[in-house]
This record gives sequence, structure tokens and C-alpha cells, in this order.
Amino acid sequence: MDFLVGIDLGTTACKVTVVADDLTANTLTSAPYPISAPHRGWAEQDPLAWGEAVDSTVQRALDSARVVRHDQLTLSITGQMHSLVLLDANGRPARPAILWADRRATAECIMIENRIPDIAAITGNPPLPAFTLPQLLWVRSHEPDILSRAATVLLPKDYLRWRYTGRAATDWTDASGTGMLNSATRKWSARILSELEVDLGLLPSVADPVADGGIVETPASPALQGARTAIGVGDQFAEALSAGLTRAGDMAIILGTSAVVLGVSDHLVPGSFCHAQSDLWLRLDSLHAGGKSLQWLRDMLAPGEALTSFTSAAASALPGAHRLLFLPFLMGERGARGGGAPGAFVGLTTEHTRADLVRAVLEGVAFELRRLVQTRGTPLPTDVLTLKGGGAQNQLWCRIVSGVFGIPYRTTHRDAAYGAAMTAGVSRGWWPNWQSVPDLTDHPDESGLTDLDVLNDCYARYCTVVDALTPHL
Amino acid sequence: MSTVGVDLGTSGVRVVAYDAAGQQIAAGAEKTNLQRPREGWVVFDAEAVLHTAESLVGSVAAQAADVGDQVRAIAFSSQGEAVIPVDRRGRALSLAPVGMDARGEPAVRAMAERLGAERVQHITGQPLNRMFSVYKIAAGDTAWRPPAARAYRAPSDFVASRWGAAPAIDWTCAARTGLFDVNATTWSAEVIAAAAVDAPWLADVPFSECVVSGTVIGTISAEVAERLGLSGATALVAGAHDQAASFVGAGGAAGSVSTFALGSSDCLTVETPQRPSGIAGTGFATYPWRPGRWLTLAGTAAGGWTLDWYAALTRLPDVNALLSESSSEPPPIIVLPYLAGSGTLDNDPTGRGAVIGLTLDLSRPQLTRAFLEAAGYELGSIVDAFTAADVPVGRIHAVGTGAANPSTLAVRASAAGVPLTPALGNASARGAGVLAGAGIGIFDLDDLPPITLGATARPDDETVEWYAQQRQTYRDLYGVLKPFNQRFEVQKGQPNYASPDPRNDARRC
Repeated sequence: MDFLVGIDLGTTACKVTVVADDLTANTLTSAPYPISAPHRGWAEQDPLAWGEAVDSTVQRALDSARVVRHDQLTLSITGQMHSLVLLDANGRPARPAILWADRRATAECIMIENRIPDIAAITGNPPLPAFTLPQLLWVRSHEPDILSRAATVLLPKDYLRWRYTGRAATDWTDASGTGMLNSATRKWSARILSELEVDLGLLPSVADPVADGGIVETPASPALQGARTAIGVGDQFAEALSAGLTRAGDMAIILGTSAVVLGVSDHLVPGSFCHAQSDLWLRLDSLHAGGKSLQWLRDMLAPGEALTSFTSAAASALPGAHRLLFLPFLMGERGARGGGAPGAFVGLTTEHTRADLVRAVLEGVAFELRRLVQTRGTPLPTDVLTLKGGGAQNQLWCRIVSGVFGIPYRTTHRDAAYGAAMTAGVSRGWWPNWQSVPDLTDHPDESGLTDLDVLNDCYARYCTVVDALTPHL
Repeated sequence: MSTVGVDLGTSGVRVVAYDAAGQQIAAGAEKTNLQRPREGWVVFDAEAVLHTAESLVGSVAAQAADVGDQVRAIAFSSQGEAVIPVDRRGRALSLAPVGMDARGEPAVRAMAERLGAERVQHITGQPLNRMFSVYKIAAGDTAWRPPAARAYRAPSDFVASRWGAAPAIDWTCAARTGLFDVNATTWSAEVIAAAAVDAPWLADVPFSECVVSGTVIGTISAEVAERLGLSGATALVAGAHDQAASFVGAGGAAGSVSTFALGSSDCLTVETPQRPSGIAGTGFATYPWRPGRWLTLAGTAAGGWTLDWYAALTRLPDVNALLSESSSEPPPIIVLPYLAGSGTLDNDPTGRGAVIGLTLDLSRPQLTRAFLEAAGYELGSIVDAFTAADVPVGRIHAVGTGAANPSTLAVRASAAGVPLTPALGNASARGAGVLAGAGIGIFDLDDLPPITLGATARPDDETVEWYAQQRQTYRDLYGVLKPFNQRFEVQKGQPNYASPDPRNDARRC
């Protein structure tokens, strides 16, 4: 039989999905692996721990899917983006991986922008401490001995594939999150590397995500021996693919702990990264406290209560929450960005109930996502908005998001591991191109559009308040 | 020989008996319920309050009798603005709206067009605001109109008249109807006529006679006296609006001692020998409580009520449970406590509350402290406004349930930047008890028995700079959000009547 194997190397655990040729899927998740924070603001992980977790989870997933040695397997790995893995000449990690959540490279970001003021026009994004390039420069400044021993710079998913195949390569989606890729040409930027004196020899080659990533030679499971691999994509792109985002204008929102808007564009726009398809780009607009805002309110008002139960109270509140607004900037965005609006409830009266507050949080997250999209000019879909993540299991929240955007919605349980498997499928030739991959079949739900007018009015007020409060506190 | 003060508050009834030295000898209290029958309406059952008051007075009279004392006079401290339509026997015809009830907004706009905010305030001493009784009466249905309605009563004269007194209302409670001419100390024909254009029943249904606080208005009826275990000679005496009663009961004095009441609403009360001229054009509410003694009020409508609301959201048993977990350190957030319209400084019924600066790191104890600080920020702003108007505030005696907790009072003092000294006991009931005694000659209002004070809460030296900055941010934030709230009201088709210039806005308490 022919199987696709998608591996998602997350920040806390890995997930493996095995898809059979009838598109049935088996998914397993690993035990969590730790994040270490040797100093405040640092976040590191041991790449060897990733390998152990992935190996054991792949073995269990293959067993679960009843894959045997002579089955044809195609493997694709996705994973946390941006994080820096340094390998020495012997292929051993030269130091723990510096994760995307690490904030140590702030000074390096400033230095990069000073040296290359137009870097965002080249890469699509300004340098951020989360990106690989500032992390690499931090190592050069603070741990020169380690950098001198480094032979290869890899991204997490590429490290895992290299571990199986021995071939060092990356794809343009992941590479566009390093801060070193020219996102228009999809090649390493000679200017950036030159200005910052980064050795091109450290970097892997950049390839199409569905290109051949090599044959598995050191398998975690006997069944993997000889399996094909695709180069793969970064995890946000795997999420996008699993949500069917393959055409300009397609959009998905992931309602997780954070909330992320994924929007496809047919040209390079500020804030975008390279899409898996060579003529598309993907914008990522994120709000740090998405579902986390709900958890926060629960912890303030009803610590210990199940989140589902707490959130269900919102069903009794009217759209607009009796003119109560919630500004979901709970992660100190204002300080981190050197400005911006504070987190807030605005418009409180003694007539507001807990139901109103919960509903205001659900609406506030949706308002901010729309504002993000609107502010940054991300094109909106005309037909359907795909909602994913744990929050998408909350029908009321889905209806609110749909009403705020004025677009019918659908939900999907497909995740990044499934998106990785689809990458493997295109690579394997199951489908000739991304547009041929079976799309989501759920009929768009239009029930949220009944509140369109009320929510539009509330959204206008929300924007007014955000603008008004931006310079304050 | 004792006198009894009956405190008819927004959240409960308290009855306290005092001996001739002004010391408490018996007391009783019971909570009462507010109802919200529809959006914007906040009402109570006046007949239920009457029943509660009777039960408590009977109990207190019995306690006094147990120590060999006899009640000689009763007076009332009453929540302001609440109004009750009654039939010919003085029975309530409707649930009674309290100050926070918002039904009077249309009548306020009509009054603004007819007389203008400045003229209304010149006559009544009160800012143009929906909280006052007249605007609620104007919004009334058939229960508020003849032939059913035969009179309108404030809580104090509602209870007193049911116990046998002649229908009479003291100047301070009369002022809180919004129809009282504080200069002439009579009902204002001009304001009544203006209100009666749209609500003609206001010209037909009488209010009680206006008398000065401390005036004997009757003797308790034999039937009530027997039922409550009182002497048939017990005098009924005109009391005062609760803020005025608290001022009297907590040792307030012009130029030296003001009172800050931390009850359902927060209110600073300052006395002057004449109507303050330095605050002309502002929204401070002012009235005479006796000849040559004017009280000026400023605060927020939903002070303690905001804490009640917050405690209810958390489903903790009560506010004390919430306050017990308050943070000991100032949090980097600010609460605007305008959950029932803005504070007196801005007299903006479109004002709304806000909690600004929320982060994931914020804890509930910090949020609780921020709610306490808000009362302090508002007080600090009010003191600044009085000072700017050359009205001396003097020392501040804190009264009300919110003054009883030393640690929370300390938070408010630090946030306000002013020392707060708690006046122990129930100042509002004590003020009524003192007025009762004055009515029958036991007390001289110019030479009252001393009060008992607690330890003064002083601003923490280590946080003086921090709180000075926070108070400024607090005022700035209100200024930022004010246009937004007002614009929304306009969008709803309710044009805002407040002046764009905050300094020219009517202010209220």
C-alpha cells in the first residue's frame, strides 16, 4: 500500500499523521519535550530530544496504521519555524536550539535594521528576535567559539529530515522565516549575507517544498527504511495547506491559545512569507492572546471552572455585549512594540453580567483579527472563512468571527501534521498540484451573518477606542 | 432617654439608638434588595423597606427598653433622588426608582431645552442629571399620575408620614428631587412649570411641605407606637439626605472637617457658611441643610456598588471576601469607576466604566486593588477641584461601610493623595439620631457630642509619586474615552446635552 506520513515538530510535542491511499488518517502525539530558559527571555530545546520523540511517535503511528516493511511511504516533516539549529562538522548539535519564542536577540535586530534599513522589502518582514538571522548573529557575538565549530545552520524540521536522509536542505516557506531569504526570488539574499558577513556555506540549499528530500537511510522504524521524503514546509504553511489555502484570497483563522490569520496573496506584501506554491505568498497576522484571553478572564472571575463551561455563559448575552468592548492586548503588545493600545474592558456598567464579559472577549478577539487584516491589507475571501484550532470547536465563537468578517465559515480538524502529509502527497504525485488536493467538504455556515449589522457597528467603535487609547498608559 | 436614627439607604436599613451623650445603645440592620425590571431601571419596594424599618425600630426600642431607656424621638437619613408615588393613604403605588435609575434621560433633555443646565443649577443647586426625582416622575406611567397618585414622597417622608407625621420633607432631601429652590428654600414654581410641559401631573400632584432638618414634624401614631413598642409621645423629626446626615454624624464642620462617604455611592461633602460662589458654573451639587450652612457634594454614583458588582461577577460571598485578597502593591492598571455614569466632576451620564492596562500577568488581587484605587483617584480629583475653587476641604472623615476596613482605606488614601480618618459607627444613622435629638432639644447642633475616630490612613510615602502620576493618567483616560461614549449616545439618537468643554459641564453628586 501507499502511505503518506506527516510529522509536525511542535514547540512542546510532536504529532504524526499517517494517511492511507483512501485518505483515512491515523494521528498520534508524543509526550511533551521540555523548553529550558537558562536566562529570563530565553527559550531553548535539545534537538536530540526532538529526534527521540519523533522516532518513537513515528514507530507507534506506523504500527497503529498497520504499515509494514514493503509498503510505499512518503514522508514530509513540518515544524516550528525560525528556530536556530547549529550542527558541527560531525553532525552533532553545537548548542541547544534557540527557539522562536526566545527574546535575547533584540540588539541584533536593531543592528540589522541599521545596516539594512530596507530589509523588510527584501524578506517581507522586519527582523524580529524570533527569526533565525538575529539568533545566529547573537551566537556570533556571544558564543564565537560555538559558531566557529558550526558547519551547518538548519531549521528544526530540516534537522529531522537531515537526520533521516543525511541531506541538508530547506524549503522556501521555512527559509522565508529566517530573515535571510529574498522572498521575491526565493533565494538567499546575497545582499543581506554580505552586509552582515554571514557565510553562505553555513546555509542549506533552498528548494521547492515538494522537491525530493532524499531517501530515509537511518530509519526510526524498519518500515521507514527507503521511504521517500519531501523537503516539507514550515508549520504555519502546513496549517494553511490543511485548511485548503491554495488560491489568492483564501483565508483561515486559527483560534488557539493565540489567534492567527493566514491569508494568501498573489504578490509579495509586507508581513508575508513565501507560500508553498511558487507564485503565492502567505500573510500571517497574529494576536498573541486569542483563546488565552478567555482563559485569563476565567482565571480572574472563576478560577478552577472548566473553560468550556465558563465560555458557554456567553450564549445568553446579546451581540455587542451591551456596548462592552474588550481590547485583547494582554501580552504587553504595547510595550513590546513601543506603542499600541493596552488590554482593556471599555464601556462597563453595573448592568453587565459575566455573560457580557465573556461575549465581549470573544468579540474583541474577532474585532482585533479583522483590524489586523484590514490594517495590513490582507485580501479577504469572498466565499468562505476556514476556522481551526481549539476555539473553532466553540460554535458561538465561530459565528461571531464569521459575523465580524461578514463571511460564511467552515471548520476543520485537519492540522499541520495533516498538511505535512499533503505535502508528501503532492511530492509523491498523488495530486499534480496544490489545487488538486481534496478540499474541505463542509458546507459553509452562514448563521453568523445574522448579526452582521450589530457587529459592524461594534467593530467601528472598537477601532475608534483602540486608536484613542493607543498612546495611553 | 434616647433618640433613634433610621438610615434608609440604597442597600439596606440601619436603625441606631443614641443616648444623651451621643453614644450608641442599641442597633439593628437589614439589607434590602434592588431590582432591575428592565434595562436602565433600578428600583426598590418601598413598602418592603417600610416593613423592614418598622421591624428594626421595634427591635431597637426593645433593646433600649432592656437597658432602661425610652426612645423619645426618631429622625431619618435617606438616600437621595429616590421617589415614591403614593395614594391618598400614603401607600406606594409603584416600585420606587433610585438615583441610578436611568429612565429620566428624555425628561432631562427636555429640561435642558426649556431652562438650560445653567438655570436649572442656579435654582436647584443640583446639576441637570437624570438621577433626580423630577425626571423619573416625568417618565412615569398611570401609577405616577392623578387620579391614582396623590403625592410624591422621598423615602424619609414616605416612612414618616406612614408613622403619623405630617407630610414634610427636609431641605436636603427636597434638593435631591431636582425641584427645590435652594435659594428660596421652597419648591421652585419655575422648574415645576418647565417639567410640567411634558408631564402635567407634576403640577397637579403635591410634594410634602419643606422644612429644615431637625424640625419636629409630628408624633408617632398610637397604632404604630403600640405595634413597635414605642411611647405614644415619640416625636418624629425631619432628618436629612444621607450625605448631609453623615456629615452631621461624623463631626463635619465648615473649613475644618469634610466627610467622604464610601457607601453605594462615593461622595465628598464639604460645608461652607454660604452657597459657594467659587464653584459657579461647575456641576457641584449644593444645598443648605440649615440657615447659613451649605453642603456641597461631589463623587461617583456607583462607588461601593461597583465593588458589589465586581464581587458578584466573581461569585464570591460578598465584597469583604473580595477585598480580603486585595494586593498589597499598586498594580499598573487603572479602573474608571463610572459604571453608572461619570463622576461629579464631569456630570456625564454617557460616561462608562473601564479597566485599562490588562495583561496576562495581572492577578485578581491586583484587579481588586485597582477598583479600590479608582475611588481614591476620583477623590483626589475632587479635592483638587474644591481647592481650585477656593473651597477649603480641611481634614476628611471617612464614613460608610467602605471606611471600616483599615487596609482598603489606606489604599484609597494613597491613591487620593490625602489622609482619611475613619469616623467610627454609623455616621448616617448617627446624624439622623443627632437631628432627632436636636428636634426635641437634647442636642445643640452647634455643640454636638464628640465622635470617635479611628486611626488616620495616610498616603504611603513610597507610592506618592506613583499615585500622582496615576491620578493624572486617570484623568487623561477619562478625557480620551469621553468623546467616544458621547458619540455613541448621539449615534443612538440621544443627542448629548453636555457642553463639549468639560469645565462648563454640569457636575453632579
